[in-house]
Amino acid sequence: MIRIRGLQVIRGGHRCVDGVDLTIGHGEVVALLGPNGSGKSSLLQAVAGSLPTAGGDVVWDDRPLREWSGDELARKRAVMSQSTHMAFPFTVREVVSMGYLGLRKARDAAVGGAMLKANVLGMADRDYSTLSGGEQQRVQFARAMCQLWGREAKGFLLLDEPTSQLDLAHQHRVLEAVTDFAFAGGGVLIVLHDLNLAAMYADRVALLKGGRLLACDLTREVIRSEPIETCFDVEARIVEVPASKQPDGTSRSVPHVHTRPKLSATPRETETDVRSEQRIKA
Amino acid sequence: MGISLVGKRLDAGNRAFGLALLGLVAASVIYLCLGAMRISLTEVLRVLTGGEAEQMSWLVVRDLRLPRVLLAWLIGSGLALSGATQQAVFRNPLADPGLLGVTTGAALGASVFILVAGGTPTSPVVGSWIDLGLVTSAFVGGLLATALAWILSAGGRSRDTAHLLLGGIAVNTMCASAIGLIFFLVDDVQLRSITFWTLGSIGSANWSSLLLLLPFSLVGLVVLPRLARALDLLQLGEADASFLGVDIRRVRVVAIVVSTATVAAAVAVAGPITFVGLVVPHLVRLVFGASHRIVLPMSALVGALLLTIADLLSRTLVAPAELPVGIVTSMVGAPFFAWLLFVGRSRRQA
Repeated sequence: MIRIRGLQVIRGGHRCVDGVDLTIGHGEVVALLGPNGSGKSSLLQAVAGSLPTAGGDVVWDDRPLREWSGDELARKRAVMSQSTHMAFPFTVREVVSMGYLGLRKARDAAVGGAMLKANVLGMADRDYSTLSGGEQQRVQFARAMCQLWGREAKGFLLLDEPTSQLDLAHQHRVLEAVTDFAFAGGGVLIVLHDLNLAAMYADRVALLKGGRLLACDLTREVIRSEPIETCFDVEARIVEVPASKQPDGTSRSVPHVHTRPKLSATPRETETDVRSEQRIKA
Repeated sequence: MGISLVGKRLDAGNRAFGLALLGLVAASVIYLCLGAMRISLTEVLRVLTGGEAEQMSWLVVRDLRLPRVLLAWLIGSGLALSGATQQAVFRNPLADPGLLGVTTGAALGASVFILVAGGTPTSPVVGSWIDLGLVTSAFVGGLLATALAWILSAGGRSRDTAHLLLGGIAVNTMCASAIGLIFFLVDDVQLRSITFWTLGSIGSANWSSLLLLLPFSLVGLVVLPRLARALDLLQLGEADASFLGVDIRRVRVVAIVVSTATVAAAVAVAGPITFVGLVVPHLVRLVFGASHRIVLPMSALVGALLLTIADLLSRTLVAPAELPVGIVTSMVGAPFFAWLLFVGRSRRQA
């Protein structure tokens, strides 16, 4: 269980996470949504332990984050960053096995299994740096899965926009792997931009704006027009659509969001607009 | 299903490692035979095994060529291994052991010594004695320059290695301008000594210079390959590597301190020998891929092999005179590096 209490993060003098309370339990997928610069990535990095916190607590399994050693955390959680560039010609298989922390004899099975989950087995021997952005993203996802291979029940995945460059089929494939991970007992915190993917795959959704938590509840409670309109400054309409068939043969429906630009006589000035105007005047 | 290809690559690595080791031994035996005085293979083997041999062969092989070829091993392996390490730490294929100022700093140290102590009576290229003062001041100069780059960039605190690179550029410039200043202050003999020093040569090799270098080389050869996994993970980026449990600061400090000391000692003994540290790791990666478990030991071996061959050429091409080995490595290294850039560019365009 990850418990976040009153978390504050300051980057470059800007308070980009401002008093966020959030818990991520075992067996659930929590999606983090919000406009650009709302603090999603900073929140994720602070929870992962790579950004210093300016206030509040992050507690992993009843132990504050700072009391965990790097090795202990590495066996507890895997993190996937937005993009990873490699300067040297590592093969896909080498990159995925970088994530592997277990015993040598079980390595090939874990690496192969993780590559299968991300559908990168076919490019195992290709040079990572020659892959497309989406392919690289799948390789990094495989690496994260490999890190927690066999540790799903106690592990946490922290994913920063893992599907941002993926084609439609792979978006679903990756998010199905994510829900499988949660089904096996793991917890997931995932930053997404696509509200409809969040509606399909997340158990709970947290909306961030300006570093503050706007809403955090079951997916169906948050994917409604009012919270989304407030958070993203758009007009939103929700319809129910059937999702894929469940294992028991029944079909459930999920909310689906249509958005369009906000219609208003005077477009609301955002903070950045005001600032750039001042700069022009000066 | 070729799932254990990581392992297969390592096996291929082992085989190639054995092959390169064999090549190194073969090149070294040839090295002992050829030169201003040609000695037959059987005679060389007799000297090496302590058998009956002519007095002159004993002298040439045991006191001149053997320490010199061993010195070429140590310097070549140290430079290439340190180059591979620094390229990994900075995640930059163009990184070179001289990046943090160690080479220029050593050159400044040597220049200052020559300025203060007066012209060395024998040119360092043909001198058979070792000038302990020159070696020490070059070594200290190299270490001080890198320490300054480290301090300037607050290397320990910042997570970003770009600061360290900029610190290195600043220190390199400072040292280079100080050397330029010294050029104005010295007389012709001293100027000649400094110039010869900066060309790089292992002509002054003897058993005492070998013993001076040995501890630094051994520390490098033992410590740096142990960082292989950490350096692999570091290629994911410093944040991602720390998520996998790598202690970034410790790895960075160990890698930079050990590789700098190795290079400083090598440069102090031989002067700057360019391109070995930059090109050898690339050569190894082209053939064996990027995994540092192969790149680090293989770079050390190929570096030793390359410098042995280069020094053999430097002794034999214009015999009985001698080319500074730094010129030979540059002549081989510069075109190769240009080719590497060209191939890299066309591959990226394709």
